[in-house]
Amino acid sequence: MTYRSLAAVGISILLVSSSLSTAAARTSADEDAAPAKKSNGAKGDDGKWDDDAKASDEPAAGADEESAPKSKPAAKAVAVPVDEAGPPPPAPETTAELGPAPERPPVYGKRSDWFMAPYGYARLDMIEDSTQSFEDGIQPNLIQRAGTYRGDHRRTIITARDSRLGLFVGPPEYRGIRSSSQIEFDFYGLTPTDARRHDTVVFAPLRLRLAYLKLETKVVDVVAGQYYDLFGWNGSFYVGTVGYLGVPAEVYHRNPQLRIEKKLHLGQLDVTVAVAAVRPGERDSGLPEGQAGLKLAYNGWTGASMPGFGRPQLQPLSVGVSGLYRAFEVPVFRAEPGSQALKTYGWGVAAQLLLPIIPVKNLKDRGNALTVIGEYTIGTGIADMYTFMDGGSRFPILPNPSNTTPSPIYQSNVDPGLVTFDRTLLNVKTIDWQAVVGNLQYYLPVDGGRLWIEGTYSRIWSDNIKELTPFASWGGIFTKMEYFDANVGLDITPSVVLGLSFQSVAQTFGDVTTPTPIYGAVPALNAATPGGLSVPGTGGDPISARNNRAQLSFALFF
Amino acid sequence: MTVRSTLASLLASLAALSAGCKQDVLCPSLGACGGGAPVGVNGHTDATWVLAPGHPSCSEDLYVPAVDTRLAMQGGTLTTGMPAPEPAVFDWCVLLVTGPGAGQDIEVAEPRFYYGEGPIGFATLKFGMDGHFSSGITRTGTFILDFPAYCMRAFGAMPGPLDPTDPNSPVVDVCTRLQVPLRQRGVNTGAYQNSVCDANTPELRAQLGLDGAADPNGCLCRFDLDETGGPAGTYVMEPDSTILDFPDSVNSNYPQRTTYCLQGDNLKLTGADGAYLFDQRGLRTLDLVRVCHDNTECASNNCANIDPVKGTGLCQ
Repeated sequence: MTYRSLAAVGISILLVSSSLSTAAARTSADEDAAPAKKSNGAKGDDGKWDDDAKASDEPAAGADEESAPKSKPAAKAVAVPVDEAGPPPPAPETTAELGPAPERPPVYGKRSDWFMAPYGYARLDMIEDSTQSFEDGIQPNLIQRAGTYRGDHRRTIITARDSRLGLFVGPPEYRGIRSSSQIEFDFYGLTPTDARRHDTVVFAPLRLRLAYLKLETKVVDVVAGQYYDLFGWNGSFYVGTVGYLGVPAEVYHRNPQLRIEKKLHLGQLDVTVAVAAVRPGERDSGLPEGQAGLKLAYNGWTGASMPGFGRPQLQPLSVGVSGLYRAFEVPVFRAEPGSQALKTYGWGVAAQLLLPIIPVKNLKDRGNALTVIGEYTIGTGIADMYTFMDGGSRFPILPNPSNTTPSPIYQSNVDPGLVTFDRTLLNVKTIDWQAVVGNLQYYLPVDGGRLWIEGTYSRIWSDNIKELTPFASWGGIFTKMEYFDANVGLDITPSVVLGLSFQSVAQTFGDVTTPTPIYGAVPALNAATPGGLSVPGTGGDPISARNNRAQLSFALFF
Repeated sequence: MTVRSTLASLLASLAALSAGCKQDVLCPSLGACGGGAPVGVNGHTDATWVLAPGHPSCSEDLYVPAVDTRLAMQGGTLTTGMPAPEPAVFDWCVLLVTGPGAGQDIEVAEPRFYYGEGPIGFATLKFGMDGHFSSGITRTGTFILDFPAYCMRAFGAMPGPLDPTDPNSPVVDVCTRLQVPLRQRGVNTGAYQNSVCDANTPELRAQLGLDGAADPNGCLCRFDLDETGGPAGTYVMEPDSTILDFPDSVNSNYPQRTTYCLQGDNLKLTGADGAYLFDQRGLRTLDLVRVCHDNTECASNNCANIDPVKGTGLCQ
């Protein structure tokens, strides 16, 4: 992307922002004119749309619960930087001679019957890392080892890129079909590989997070678009932490999908069953990925739960199980594979629990609320479900039997870390992973729970990634990763939050320490040397590296 | 609790958290007590130092990736619109290609003698009165090259006579055939000796104490590493217990600082400010003792274990 492209994107943002502002202003005007309709449109009879808001990691529902002072920030949110866009055009005078302001007619019904709500948050993160291993989030990149420059020196990150902007739209009900849509962005869009750090952080291009429509009928609900993955019941069991979601080992992913969902209300018990056809892990497999899940929620036992650094939500005691199944089809491991393909399949199973140990009935008085969240996942070929993780696994370099120059290159058609070729080089194998996550949230009995503490432990490991990696590259993979954090936060106002976090993550690599040699003589072959043979990855102690992070975050939710 | 006090305490906590959480290095400093130039005890002669018995050198556990041969392009040119190869792990065959080579040689492309980080088995340092120094740092160890069956079979290598010129030569497997060129290749480099190749059988793996599954059609080749390097150049004693040395090598003449602690016949060296010693990747510390010919060359007046051939011993 060039600067010209960036400028174009910036202009687009301004135009979209202006549109949103106009729409929001109109919506506000409509709300002023017909507040009752807005209320009906937002919540409906059974509150299903509220469920949608809760399902996201956004604070809209929580902010509503907190009765945030009403304002019209959208009208102010389009302040155009004069130095970048020039002076704004003069506002049209709304006089009687000019008639009504131009307005795009709604697709159907009256504009005032459409519910449109911009939402999001502005956030600042101040981060100090003990190594130079990570970008903003603790993604499962390889941690730099002690003894290297990047492993011995710190990194400071100050960024607002994790701010969010979203729009929730609810058309009027039509012939018994209730529809809604949500579009959400953050500012982690791709930047050119040669972009300066300044530009990456300060320009912060948009990234699409959510873009879906939802149809609710008396029979089933349908979700079509980019939404949280059904695998792991994303959105329902996120841990509470000031750090970035997903934390290492946590299933945290969004995908374009077509989902069919059925929710049964059995008294206090809600039973949700869903299936989805999802963007495949490898598009050239020719098959969509299948996901399915079952969730039980007991509404008679509710607690406070905060998804990430969001706003607490009133969540019922919930249990979820889910699975995925996906296909892989790759060319044979040759530079010129012809038409020959190799197939294999990946699968995953996830189980989650949200248990309010000390329940609360409403969020306004959540003091002393204590909630635990747990997650266990197992699967193979599912590394991408853990937020950019690949464990360091890649396809191997292609042998060069003819000594050609340049060397032959294997043209892979799948993202790294999901599958690779084993030592026979004839079989494609999926990489196994298992993970556990535990999270505890406690809202201190101070002013209705304004002060809160949270802690997380997680661990992920693979039992075959080393076996599927040539020994010369064992130092470039990790076989296990452990993470914990401790967080404290304060609601300065119901919508302004301050959080402090300490996060520590360690990785165990595939290679091991070199055995101690004999000093004073070159050990003869096969001699009984202390520590045995110096085979990379064998005979020594596991090598690990650790990154510690302190993070201070502020956010205003709207 | 006011917002101001809360904010102040959180900022203070952040500063405290970020102050002391670096991961520990494997090789802590051996001290910087100084103690004069590391030359002869009389201050008028050169001094030679070697690794102290039982006091190993210390190197950080670094990972040295094997070179991705595709990135070198081997004379090719990466032009606009030509994507760079995607990152990859190394070749399962460690660059070896076997086939129907000439004579008894089934090695068509030589393997890389990969060993990651070889431990320092020997170290000799000489500090001269004329301001020159020289070093000899030797990495030693026995290492294994694991060649899967694919690498031994896919390109045409077959069992055959060990010596094709001898009609009575026994027919041997590909591992034994590979051993011949591999051993010669290692000898030619001067650093990889005594190569031996055998089939990767469960028995061999058990004998070598290796984990993992056997691969009977593949080969396990072992070699001894004996790789010596180290710079020579000039040095200057600096006042803050630091030796500043200027290597004479065209490959590496970057001035390097070393903190030191000289106590009697013992010299401890640590790379200053996290530097590696003598440009040896990962090498952090050396614990050395003085080499002697007689008692007068030792601060302790005790030159022990004198080698009758070399005529040298170590001060104790």
